[in-house]
Amino acid sequence: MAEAAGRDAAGRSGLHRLRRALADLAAADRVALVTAMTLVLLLLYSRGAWYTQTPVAVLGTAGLLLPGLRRSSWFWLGLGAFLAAGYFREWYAIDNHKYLYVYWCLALALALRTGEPRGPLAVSARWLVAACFLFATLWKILSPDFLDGTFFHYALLTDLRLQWAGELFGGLSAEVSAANRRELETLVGYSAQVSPVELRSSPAVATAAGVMAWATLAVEGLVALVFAAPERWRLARLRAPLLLAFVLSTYALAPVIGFGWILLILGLAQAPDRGAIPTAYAVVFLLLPLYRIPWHDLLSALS
Amino acid sequence: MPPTAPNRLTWLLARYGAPALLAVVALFQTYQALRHELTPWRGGGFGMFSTVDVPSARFFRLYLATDEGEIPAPLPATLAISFREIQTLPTEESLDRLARRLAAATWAVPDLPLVALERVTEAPETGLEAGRPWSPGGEFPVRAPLPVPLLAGEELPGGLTRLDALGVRLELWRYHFDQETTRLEVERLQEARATSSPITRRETDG
Repeated sequence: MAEAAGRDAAGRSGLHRLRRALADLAAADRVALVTAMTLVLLLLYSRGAWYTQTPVAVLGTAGLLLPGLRRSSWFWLGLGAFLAAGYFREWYAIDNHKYLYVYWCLALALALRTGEPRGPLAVSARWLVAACFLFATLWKILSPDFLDGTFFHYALLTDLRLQWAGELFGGLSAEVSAANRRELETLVGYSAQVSPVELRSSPAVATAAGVMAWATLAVEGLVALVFAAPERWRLARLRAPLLLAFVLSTYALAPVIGFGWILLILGLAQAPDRGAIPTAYAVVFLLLPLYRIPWHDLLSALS
Repeated sequence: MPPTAPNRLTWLLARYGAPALLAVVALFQTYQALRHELTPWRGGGFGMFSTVDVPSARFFRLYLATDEGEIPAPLPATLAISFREIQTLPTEESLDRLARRLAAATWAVPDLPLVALERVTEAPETGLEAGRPWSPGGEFPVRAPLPVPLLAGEELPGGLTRLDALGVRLELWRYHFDQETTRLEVERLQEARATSSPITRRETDG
């Protein structure tokens, strides 16, 4: 009995120490923290050709080992320039969050030219999030095949990453999902003829797609709104809950960890110095890579 | 507190420089996508997950013109970057340029009887039916007796015969999803033709 109580106490103590460590991490020098997180992000997820990877690996490692370097405006300008030049050569294949990496390096370089970078960084980060979500929302409104659910309907039928959602919400079987992907491959694959192909669906998939479309539009539009709202507005208090909800839900479906991480870094950069919010950003940052584990496959294999 | 005049530019740039750059690039991307067929998924406008019109929804068909008719041909992996650029932002000029490069390439066929397109349309079982999907940078699904492109300076491997193509026809297609019928409908976006000039043909022959 005493032994069990001792183990409980040790467990509670360990948990307490972990919570304390996370709180300390989030309350630490915010500029030092977000610059370190940015370097980890770039080292792991900037990717690109050798002329992008090599300078990022060298500068990123140097920046992690030499904290003083991370305080240099020129360091971030150089890092951003290498990223921009590399991505420019591969413009046709570069995802949108890679642009955010470059903008954030520029924001760091410009803020570090001032004597007090914390304030300018917070403003930059806030408006980068607002602008990113504003354009994402705008595109979903402009697009002819988003609001009526067409895009998500198609994605649920053909995207391997969303297969589990198609099975869960739409009642599709794994065989039907595989057959749909084969149809698509036949269409775009090498062939002597081009003709339409029919995908197998269900009414439930169409309903789920409509719900996903409007939910996505609502969340992204709200994130843009709350980040654009002045600090004194009550809406501004929803920044962290909405951004965290977006990251936790979106990257569960499409685990683009680099995108999630840059959003969390931007969120943390503009968050208050103390309290639960910076801790929440830090915890989600630490745990987000767990989304890369193929949970659905593992659970399917076990069942 | 806003700074005094000498520091105003630094003050403004430090706060709004990066977001302003994002907005400028995104507005340019939006213009390019709405006016010039740039896929909304690329270009820094944050249009990902908004449309089926992803770059891979745009796909190619390549045909070699021969004395026996048109023969479908695989896309050379060596030109994968050009194909991807056109999938992202197709222009008439870029498709024409690519068609000319393809017309100048050296093609070879396995030592098997060639089957012209017209016969394939009538009888798909002749061996030219769809193969595995081609993805830029990946393997392309050559099934005999499809023509294969040879790299510059590459010697003709055994079992292949040089194909004297008269020219090429390159098509760019796009699919979209019709929710009502659950069909992927297709439309041809662009087409380019190029002839193998006598000079080109002599060079490739030699």
